[in-house]
Amino acid sequence: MFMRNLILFALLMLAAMAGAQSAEDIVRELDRMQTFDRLYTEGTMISTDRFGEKRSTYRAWSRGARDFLIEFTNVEERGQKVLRVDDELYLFYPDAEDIIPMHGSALKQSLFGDVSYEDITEGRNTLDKYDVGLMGSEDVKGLDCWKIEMTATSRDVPYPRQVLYVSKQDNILRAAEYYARSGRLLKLVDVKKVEMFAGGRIMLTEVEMQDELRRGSSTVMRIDKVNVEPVLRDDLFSLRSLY
Amino acid sequence: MGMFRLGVFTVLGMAVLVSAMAESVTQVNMELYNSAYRGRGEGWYYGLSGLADLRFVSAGNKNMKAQAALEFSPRDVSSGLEESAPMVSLKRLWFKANFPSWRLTAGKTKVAWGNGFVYNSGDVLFGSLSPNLDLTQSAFRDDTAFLMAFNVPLGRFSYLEAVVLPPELVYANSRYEVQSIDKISGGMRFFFPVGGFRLEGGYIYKGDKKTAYDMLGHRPYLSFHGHVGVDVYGAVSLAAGYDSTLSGDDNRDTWEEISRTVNFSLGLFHQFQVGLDGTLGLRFEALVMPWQEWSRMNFTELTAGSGLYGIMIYPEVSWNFRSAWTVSLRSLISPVDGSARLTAGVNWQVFQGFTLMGYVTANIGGRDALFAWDRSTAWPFKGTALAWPDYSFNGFSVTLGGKYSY
Repeated sequence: MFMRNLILFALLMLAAMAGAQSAEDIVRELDRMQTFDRLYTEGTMISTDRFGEKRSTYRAWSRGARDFLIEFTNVEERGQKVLRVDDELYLFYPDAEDIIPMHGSALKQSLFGDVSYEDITEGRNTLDKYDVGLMGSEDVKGLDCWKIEMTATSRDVPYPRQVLYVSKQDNILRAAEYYARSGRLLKLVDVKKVEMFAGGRIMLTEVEMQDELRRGSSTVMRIDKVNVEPVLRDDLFSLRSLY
Repeated sequence: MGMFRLGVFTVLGMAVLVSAMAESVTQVNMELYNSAYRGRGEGWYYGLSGLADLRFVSAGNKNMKAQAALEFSPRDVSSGLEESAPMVSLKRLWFKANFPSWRLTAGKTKVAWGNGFVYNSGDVLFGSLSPNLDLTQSAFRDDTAFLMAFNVPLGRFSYLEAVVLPPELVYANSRYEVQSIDKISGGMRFFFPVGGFRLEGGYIYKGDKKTAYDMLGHRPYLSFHGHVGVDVYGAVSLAAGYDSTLSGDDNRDTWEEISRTVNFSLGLFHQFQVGLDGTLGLRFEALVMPWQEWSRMNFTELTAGSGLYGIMIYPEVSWNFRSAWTVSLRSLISPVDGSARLTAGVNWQVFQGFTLMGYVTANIGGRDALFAWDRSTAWPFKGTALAWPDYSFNGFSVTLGGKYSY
């Protein structure tokens, strides 16, 4: 009896270890699939609440994981730009003709909705911020998906706990749930559109985020135009691009 | 009037030209405020004020940018006058040309030198020393002037910038007059990063005033911006040599005279994430002029610009939440005479481009202080009523307004 329990325990531990490893692999592959050497995008953020829609439009350039430039194109924010090069981050306000360097906690300021300057300008390094574990499998919109739990390793993330649903067939994120530290469900994420590129890379081109705390409140992040591996000017990621 | 018409036609002509040369975008920004405030004689006043600007912005040519912006401000549309008296001014009229190794900016615009939100000793082009600020405004120190700037990048984060500003037209003898070339302003700055800090230094010769409290002559400055747990920034500048606006001896050529112009600004800024979708921002700025006045002065001298207190402080707390609401408390504090102006505000971004705003402003201070709660018994004799009319602000106001961009 003792030997049987010992063998069962050993098998459970092995399964748990294999599961944890597998969850890390899945998340690492998720990051890899969404990382591009060079990228140009045009996009729209639509936040909806009981007062109607608010739209922000932008165009953005990136090179590797650390060089990033975004310019807002909607009327209210037209010409505002954010530049990130390595650890340097600058904001440009066209009316003030002024460049504001940003540091530390200012990076966590909301750029639009839930998205912070840090979120949009930082490279994908999910495993640096979260411990991940496999919770099992679940069917999402007819697709067999891995259910992965991510627990934040620091307080520097907006959501301390996330649950991801990743399609087993192609390793693409299909849905997610964001929870507060108390365990309360805050947001439901629905991946509506995905675009495939060479090298097994993908881009989530339409994602809807439903706010579970405010009825009728949601944010849609949509990529309207993508150019992978565009030709970028040498001085694009420099201060002169801000003016 | 002729000059005004000429200006408007020139701007409209430029706007049409901009539109014709390249794809252009039109934008309108409107701000309207209802204010109720206590006046000089303890009477209450209610006024509708506002601002609107119409912009023509070039788009399509990545090497060229241009903008023309007319600003309209109704003097007092609720005054009951048979004919309203709107004022139209040219706020911006500029183009920028990006050459392969340098950039040219020409026209009426702003060049931001130094670092600072309210107090910026490095802003030697426009001056950021005035203690008279309306904290309900969406943009402080938003002055523009005609200038030409040449910006030469020296690597990704360094550049040299030279700027030349022609003298302003002066209204005299019922007409606008051109000033002589000795009123020209010009200078250069150098911007570069060192470690985690951005350093900036420069010099300008100022030939004429661009704003109130502006100091003329030789204006060197140094400025920095960095992060040591919190954002920290500051600047120092002075004025020496000929200043045509000084009465009597108009040449600052002794240390005693120059020292009175030495001014330091220092700022600290930090933000915290509050809850899931909130941000709390804390800002503290100080302006120190060690050789200015450190004992109480009468408010008439201060507001006339004949002296400045040795220290002024600006603290600000702002809380942004749900990506639509901002609650703020701003203050101008004058430690020398123990007075302050407090402005509490709420902004709510209701619809796309539309923001509702509400502010309460209250002064705290004695009747002769810079920020007096009630100056009723301290106003100058009525004979100077032109300078201090009955509707002068007297310590308390409530403002409700809206802003719309489309």
